[in-house]
Amino acid sequence: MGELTAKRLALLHELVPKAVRIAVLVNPASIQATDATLRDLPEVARATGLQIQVLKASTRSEIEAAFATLVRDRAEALYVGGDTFFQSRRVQFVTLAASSRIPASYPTREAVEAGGLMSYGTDRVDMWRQVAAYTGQVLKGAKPADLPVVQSTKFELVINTQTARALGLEIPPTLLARADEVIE
Amino acid sequence: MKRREFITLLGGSAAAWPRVARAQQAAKIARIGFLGATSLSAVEDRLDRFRTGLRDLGYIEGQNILIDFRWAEGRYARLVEFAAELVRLKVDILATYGTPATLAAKQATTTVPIVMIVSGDAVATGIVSSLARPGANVTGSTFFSPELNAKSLELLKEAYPSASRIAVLLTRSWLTSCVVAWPLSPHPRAVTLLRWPKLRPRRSRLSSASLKTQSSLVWSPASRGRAET
Repeated sequence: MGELTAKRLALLHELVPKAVRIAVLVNPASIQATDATLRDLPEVARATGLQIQVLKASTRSEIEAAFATLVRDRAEALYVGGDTFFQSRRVQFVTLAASSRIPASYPTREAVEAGGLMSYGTDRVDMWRQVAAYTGQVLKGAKPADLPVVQSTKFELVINTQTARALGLEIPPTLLARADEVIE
Repeated sequence: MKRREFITLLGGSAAAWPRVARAQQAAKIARIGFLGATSLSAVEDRLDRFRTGLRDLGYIEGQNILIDFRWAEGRYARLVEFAAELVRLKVDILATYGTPATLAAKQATTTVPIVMIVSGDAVATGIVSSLARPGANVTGSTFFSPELNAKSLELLKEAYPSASRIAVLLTRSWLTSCVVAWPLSPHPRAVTLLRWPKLRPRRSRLSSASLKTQSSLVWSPASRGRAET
């Protein structure tokens, strides 16, 4: 089972309970992540009763086209799959989600800081400094083989209430209470 | 007389060596090859943290380190070529951002050290053999990795509260993940974990079908847990 996929879909469903038709956007170029998500979806869909439509995009124009498709097909919510390129296009996502009036769930908080509705994932910002420390140690002679791989283990739920208001969504208080951060 | 001169000379030059060596060391500029799966604008603020971390250890860009950036702008196929180029430039270390970048760097070299900044499950993707002892030329940070399986098991229970028997698919490379996950599990009694130790990845599809008849959920920690980049 794709527990993270399931959890993220469950949270999205909790925030937008009326949404049944969910568009899932993945990047086929991100083979590992996309394989995992696509493999998990049928089971998640069965378990939750949600109708899942899978859309694929690897470029900015394909992202644009995916939004056109999901509007045409009347998707009620969007699940953005985990992908580094998608993360880099967060402003485009947020802009398109706003103009398409579609509630969207993102894998990382940066998108929500940019105006996305919600995210659930691990906090990775601190990793940059940590890895810089490793870089320095290796330059001073340490061997990568001896330096344990560090992990981001903290999962966080971030919700943007301003975006929710703009979409006319009322955030269930129970969900709001569980959010690690609420962006007003 | 000549002998004494020689000794003096030798002594003098020997004494001078450490200074020369120190000066050479101070002048040596380390080169970091930075391989980014996306674009500079997407990570600019986080890159400042990277520079701060380097500064903490005395490495200042432009003074004693140079960073050669290569950004694939989301076109992952270019990463292979960029990684090879940085290796040819004889960088001292490769820093990678994004799983596709780490995979490309690993493909380009087995000797140049690689530090990965944000990579998905580094064990499941085969980037390292173990988190505690990466073993080869790669280290850095990862997310959604084996030790997180305890957490993912918790998420699984939350998403499917009715699940009472969970089968855990194990292969040798995933063994560590489950050993770590079991004692940390928040639901050690609510969930019955079934081991399937001899499973090979190639046969997992077939076996997971047969497993489902015995359990309400099949959980294969590393392969299914890496749902994010």
